[in-house]
Amino acid sequence: MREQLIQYVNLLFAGNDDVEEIKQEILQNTLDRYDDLISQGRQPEEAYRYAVTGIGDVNEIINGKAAPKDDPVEQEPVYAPIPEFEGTAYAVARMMKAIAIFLYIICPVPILLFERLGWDEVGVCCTLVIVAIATALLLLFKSPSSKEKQQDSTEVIQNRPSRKGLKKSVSSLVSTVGLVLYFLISFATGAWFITWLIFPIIGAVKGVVNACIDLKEDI
Amino acid sequence: MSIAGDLIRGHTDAVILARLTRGDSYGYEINKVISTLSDRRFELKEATLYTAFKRLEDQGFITSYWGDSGAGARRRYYSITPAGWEACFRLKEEWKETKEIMDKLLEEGK
Repeated sequence: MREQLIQYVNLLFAGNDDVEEIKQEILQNTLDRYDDLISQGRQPEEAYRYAVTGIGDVNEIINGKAAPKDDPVEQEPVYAPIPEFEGTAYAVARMMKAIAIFLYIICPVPILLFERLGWDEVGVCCTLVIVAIATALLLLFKSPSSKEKQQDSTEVIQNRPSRKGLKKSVSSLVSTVGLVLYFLISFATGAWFITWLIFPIIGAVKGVVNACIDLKEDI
Repeated sequence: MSIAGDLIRGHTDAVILARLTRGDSYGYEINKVISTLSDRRFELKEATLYTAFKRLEDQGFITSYWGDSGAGARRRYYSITPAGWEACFRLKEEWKETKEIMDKLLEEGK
């Protein structure tokens, strides 16, 4: 058990060669505590547990000493599960984005299908529902780590303003083109009762474009 | 140990300095005395202890040296400097004052 304690402390400081003296000191204190507990008649397992809990959080010491390296994964092996969790959340957000884009693309299908059957309203309703679902997906699963990512990576911060500008200009372009199309088609066909559908479609197109830009940013 | 622990932890430096005025000592021994004096109600974590040592050493209140004792175990001993004595005295006075004020503030019936 004593051997395991030594291994445990070594592991705590693994990858930080410049903290050898700190490690020696904490190891010696921990061994002293263990030996003391054993001499008091405690079971080795129990003594091990007490000694280990007595160490506390050494990350602060390591981080304070080895400040220049700012790699949380290397310096905090104890907290390994947390980055993993963030990774899954990120992956889910990405998948939802992909699904949303897929929905935006296929949303006109019901209109086309139901038109053949003569149930125009049903088709429009289905399309709107699909658009709504896709938008909800995008909003609900907004990439949780996008903010942190921007903080972590200087590259992203540098690119961010230009991409935001790109998104804005593209969306205003889509809006303008859509409005022009709306009036052109409406006056040309006189089908005012249905041409308003252009507006949800504009929204969908904007969503797709934004998602595409986001996706590119992520990759 | 929960609430009182947090309060005492705010005075870690004073506690360590006060211990070292009784003579040179090393990490576990200091912690052991703290534990005994507090009837096992309070104890410092190794990491906290080490951080405090480092801080006190940086401030020039304590110095350290490696010493061998017994079965080949190398221990880092700490000893208090004159500046440390002064700081310890000051912290004790501060604590007395704090205690006095807290006693008055918490006193009932007024």
